[in-house]
Amino acid sequence: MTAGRSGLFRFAAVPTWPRRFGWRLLTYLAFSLAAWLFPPWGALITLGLVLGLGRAIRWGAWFKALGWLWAFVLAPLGVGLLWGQPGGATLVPAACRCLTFLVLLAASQWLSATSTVFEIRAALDGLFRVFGRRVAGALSLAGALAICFIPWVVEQLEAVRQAGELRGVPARRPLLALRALTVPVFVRMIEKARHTAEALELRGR
Amino acid sequence: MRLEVRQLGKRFDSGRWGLRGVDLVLDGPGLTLLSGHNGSGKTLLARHLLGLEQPDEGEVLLDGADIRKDLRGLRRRVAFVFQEPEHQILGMTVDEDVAWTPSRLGWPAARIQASRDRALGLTQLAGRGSEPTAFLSGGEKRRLAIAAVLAAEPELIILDEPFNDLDWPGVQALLGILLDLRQRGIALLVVTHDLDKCLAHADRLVVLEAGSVRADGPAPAMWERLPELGLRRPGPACGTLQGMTWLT
Repeated sequence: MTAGRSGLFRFAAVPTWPRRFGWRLLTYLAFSLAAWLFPPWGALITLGLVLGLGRAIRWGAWFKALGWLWAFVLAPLGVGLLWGQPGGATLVPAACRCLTFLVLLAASQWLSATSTVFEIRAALDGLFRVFGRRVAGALSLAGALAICFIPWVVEQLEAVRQAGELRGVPARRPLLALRALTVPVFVRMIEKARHTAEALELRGR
Repeated sequence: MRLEVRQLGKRFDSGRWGLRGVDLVLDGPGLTLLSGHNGSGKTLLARHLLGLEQPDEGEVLLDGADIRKDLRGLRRRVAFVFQEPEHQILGMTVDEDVAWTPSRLGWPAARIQASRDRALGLTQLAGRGSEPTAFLSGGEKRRLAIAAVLAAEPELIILDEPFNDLDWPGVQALLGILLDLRQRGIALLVVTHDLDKCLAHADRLVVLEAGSVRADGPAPAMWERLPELGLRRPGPACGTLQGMTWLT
């Protein structure tokens, strides 16, 4: 079971400051602006603040779990190295851009890890209110449920991968493995969607 | 509360009848078991009681009115615990999941908290509200599913195969919760083929066979008829109804 694994996915809100979600959202926006507008010092200070405010988050595990997102974070540096001006003049701005991306990801993790599903749903509801109450309600519910189902999807992927491996799907040949795993994962997701729809009918939307 | 099924029939696309001519009345508190072999229509009947299925014949009435006229009202009074508790968990933490329905009902925060705490206490999950639902064991998820429906203060709870995949302590804990709820005046309809785990504590047993009610009566009287109904009786060690209990 993947539930016990540390990683990108959180299962419970981590305590932090500010305690009210609205203030936390504003703080997150301020962090993002500072990282974009004032690199590298603004980004560095923001990174320090994010790590400090979210000290209950297991940042070591999070950095490790970023996985392929590191390619996105380090992309500006790669571009600077390959196609930049001779003498490394473009490397410093590229490194600053990398830092900005990392800070934005860390700030997003801080916001989501310190917020409950209800808070996120309420925030999404407010955000989409311009489209009307019904649409906002549907979109915010979909968003909140999607967040809840991330751990479930990860768990199912892992279960299907293990089952495939035991039944001879070669883990070292990703394309073959992907073909074998797609159908069972898809079927499970459809089943889950049907059961969730019924649960929402019975438990209230 | 009176939930009544009259001449209920449901035909599958293949033409086979899943339910036919079913009459059933659930009236007042008590622990009722709905049993029968695999494919006898137990879960299908439960789904009709909740308005999740549209019958081809007959009707389901709540206090004399067709349930389809007020499904929201029905679901406020009648709750359902899924066979797989994971299917109904909608929150990331225990607290969030238990508060889901009360918050959808628009209850004030104090009432939500009180009903949540009460439900968690009754299901032996007190003090575990901040735990992630993904980390709970199978038995704990089952108890959480019951807590989640209890928090909305229903009058009748329908449980679909609640003893599935539970070990002995898990069965004991669940039985204890069900008996406690019955004592508090909540009506319980347990859909199960695990009669040996709960018949000793039931008030009534309804047996379905091939989509029709084969027998319906008080548990002690039905105990005598188990072999005749094609249902397995436990071995000689549990030769009496009282001896069947899993609580000792």
